[in-house]
Amino acid sequence: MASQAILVRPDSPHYYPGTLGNKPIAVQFHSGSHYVALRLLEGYLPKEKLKLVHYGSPKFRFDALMNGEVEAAALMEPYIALAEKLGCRAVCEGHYLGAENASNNMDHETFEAINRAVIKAVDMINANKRQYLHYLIDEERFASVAAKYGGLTPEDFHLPRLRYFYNTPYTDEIVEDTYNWMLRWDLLTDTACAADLVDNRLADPLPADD
Amino acid sequence: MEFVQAQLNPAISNTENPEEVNPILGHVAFEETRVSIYRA
Repeated sequence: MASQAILVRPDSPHYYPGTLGNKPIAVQFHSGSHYVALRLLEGYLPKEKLKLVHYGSPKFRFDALMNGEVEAAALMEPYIALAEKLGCRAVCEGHYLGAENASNNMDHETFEAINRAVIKAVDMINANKRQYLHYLIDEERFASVAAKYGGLTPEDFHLPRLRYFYNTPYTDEIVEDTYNWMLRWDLLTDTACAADLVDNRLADPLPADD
Repeated sequence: MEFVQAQLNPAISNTENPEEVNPILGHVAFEETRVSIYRA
């Protein structure tokens, strides 16, 4: 699972999403930060008061938050941990499904092998999440940001935020609900249909010890 | 098996209009068929 939080600076007057109307919030359009921000904020603010601004990749959103260009930014880990270490606070947070997206030229055997590796990784990470946090901390692009803002250690993470479970096919209900939500926000043309968007043929659940 | 790191989005003027942003910018390697699978 992925997670994005809408964060504000330590000196911000905002403590919950309801006061962020007409305030610029950094997201990356057409990605998780955009969709989660809409899903979280629509419960507090009317559509016409949402002021989402495209800043692109998380390092740019993080910088825009810290230098005061925006009032808030939608960020994922490890940027959440770094922001919270600096005293920023999340006014709301949402989890959502991540997924592997394969092209038509990927064969069934390879895709199953990847899924088996993912399942094994899920078990290993859940057994000791902190042991693997260096992969997040040392990632080249994030490392340069962390160095600029004082660094980050495995002890700085809130581990329950990091959620891993086996890949499962999207249910028809999830696809339909998401499809209708995207139509309502003009994120999808109504000429598309669910069958065009999700192909579950290669997504049969796999046993963990296969 | 080879891993390809996603490219950072090129500099785009900050905008409030989603239609000014290409939805596939974060998945260029996939769209160019240099990789067969990506995580989103």
